Amino acid sequence: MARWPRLWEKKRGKRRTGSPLLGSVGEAMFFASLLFLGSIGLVAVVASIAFESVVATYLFPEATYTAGKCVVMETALGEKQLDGGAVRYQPRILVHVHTKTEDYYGWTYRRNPTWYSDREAAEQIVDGFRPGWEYPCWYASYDPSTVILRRSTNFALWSILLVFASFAAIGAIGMFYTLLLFGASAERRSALAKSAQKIELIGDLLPPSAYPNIPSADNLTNSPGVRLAYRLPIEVSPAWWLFATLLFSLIWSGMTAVFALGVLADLERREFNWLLILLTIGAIAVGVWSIYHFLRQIALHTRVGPTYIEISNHPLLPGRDYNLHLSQAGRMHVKKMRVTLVCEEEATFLHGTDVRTETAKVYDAEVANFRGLVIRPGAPFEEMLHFQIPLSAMHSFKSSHNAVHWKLLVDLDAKGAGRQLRSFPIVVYPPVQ
Amino acid sequence: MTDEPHISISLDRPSRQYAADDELVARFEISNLPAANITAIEASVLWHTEGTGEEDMSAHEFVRLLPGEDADGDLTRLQSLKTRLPRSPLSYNGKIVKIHWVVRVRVFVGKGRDLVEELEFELTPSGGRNSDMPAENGSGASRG
Repeated sequence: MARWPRLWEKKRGKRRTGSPLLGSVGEAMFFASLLFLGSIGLVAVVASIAFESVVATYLFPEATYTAGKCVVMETALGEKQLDGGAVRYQPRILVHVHTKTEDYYGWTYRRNPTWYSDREAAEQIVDGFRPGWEYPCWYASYDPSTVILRRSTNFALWSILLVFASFAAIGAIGMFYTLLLFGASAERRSALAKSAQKIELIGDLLPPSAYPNIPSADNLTNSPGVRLAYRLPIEVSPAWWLFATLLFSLIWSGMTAVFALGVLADLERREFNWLLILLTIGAIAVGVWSIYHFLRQIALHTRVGPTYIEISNHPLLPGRDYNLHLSQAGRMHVKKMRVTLVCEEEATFLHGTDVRTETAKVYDAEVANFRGLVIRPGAPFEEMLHFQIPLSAMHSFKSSHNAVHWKLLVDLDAKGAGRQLRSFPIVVYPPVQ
Repeated sequence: MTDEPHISISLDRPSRQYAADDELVARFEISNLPAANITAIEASVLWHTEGTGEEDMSAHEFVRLLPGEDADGDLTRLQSLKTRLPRSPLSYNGKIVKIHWVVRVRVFVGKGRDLVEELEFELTPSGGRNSDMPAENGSGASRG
């Protein structure tokens, strides 16, 4: 009995389920739908404006107006007094418009009456029109009484046109690409993708690489060191965590303040909204915790200062020895500080509908291990170290779902500051003779 | 011996070990398949990953042969593919990431059906293979 082809692809060990043909058909249908939707939308909007349909005259009335000429007959400044006593001013222009079918006289300026609080601004507009002179104007061809002298930019119309045009463009490009690769083998798809990179426009955007699939090391060599050639960037700066803590603390405190003000206002009126009171107490507790956490982070970061690592060479090659300069600032008693050279494999895969990443450490060598250090402000702990990339090492590697990463780790355990792990990525190239 | 269609691939180095920047010459031949049945042949030198993660693949060299393009129209005769190998990625046999280099020949026999045969080889650093490089020897694999 023939098996019903699976619609969704899934990785089961080395085996894959799903039909590539159905995948291509689905892809083509998706892009065809986008192209259809975008084209229909574009045509519908443009046609409804051109034919002045009811929908267009309702949604984008000014876009359907016909351009014409109006003769200004008279100008005036409308006035109205608001309830509070403030006065508002409206520019009013009496125009004569001659259409194919009729003549119309009426007061106008914009489609929606605009009232100005500034008299001078309104007068300036009125002064811009001289009685007896001819000015460009716009009116509905079926009703010249809708004549206007200033047309607004219709952002809604342009946005809708842009959205439909994007749909059509993405659909057309996607359809072309899908049809080009329809039924193509994985190798042919890969070769086509590679040849696309050679196209001048795209190729210029990509850095040339003599070592394909080895991550760029530009970010490792753009910061010169003080003692050695390059200062390595830290993988995740502690400052980011501090900033995130501060941001959370501020947002939560602001939200808590709103709740607290509501409770205070209720209490003043001798009303007790118990749910709001309980929520506010809970919010205050979280707010106090977040402030405490933020202050603790500040204390930790002032105690454990920045870690700097400088290396003597780049690129790093297997079998070679390198110098490493370690600098640790702060104000603390270090129980233990360990520097290690680590290589990790990283694999990303689909688990059901989740995207998961698994890592496996394949190399871990101790570069240095310090115990019982006392670091004082203004006198960072500094040490010149040496490390070697093993000759058998795999080079750094990065593809869409798999990677081999090399990094230098500083594992610091200080009194009153807990344990902190700081990671400095490095790039290892294949050995050369 | 069977009468099943078969693709034979051989490399210019019986050891199947190549260093970065080396030139690789692969030869392939199709047997037990009438030339008239072949709609296209795709030969490629590529690497692909294996392991826990989704499989990644990149074709380093790719040729597509069509019946009309060949001088005598017979795509079953011995063909060759020559390429200079890149410097990376090297063959690798890790814990959860493995990188395999292969020469893959795919023969299309119409109605979307194809025969595939591949021969694995090892890409090592330039200047010869490291004795402790964790890479397995290649082996042929066949799917139809």
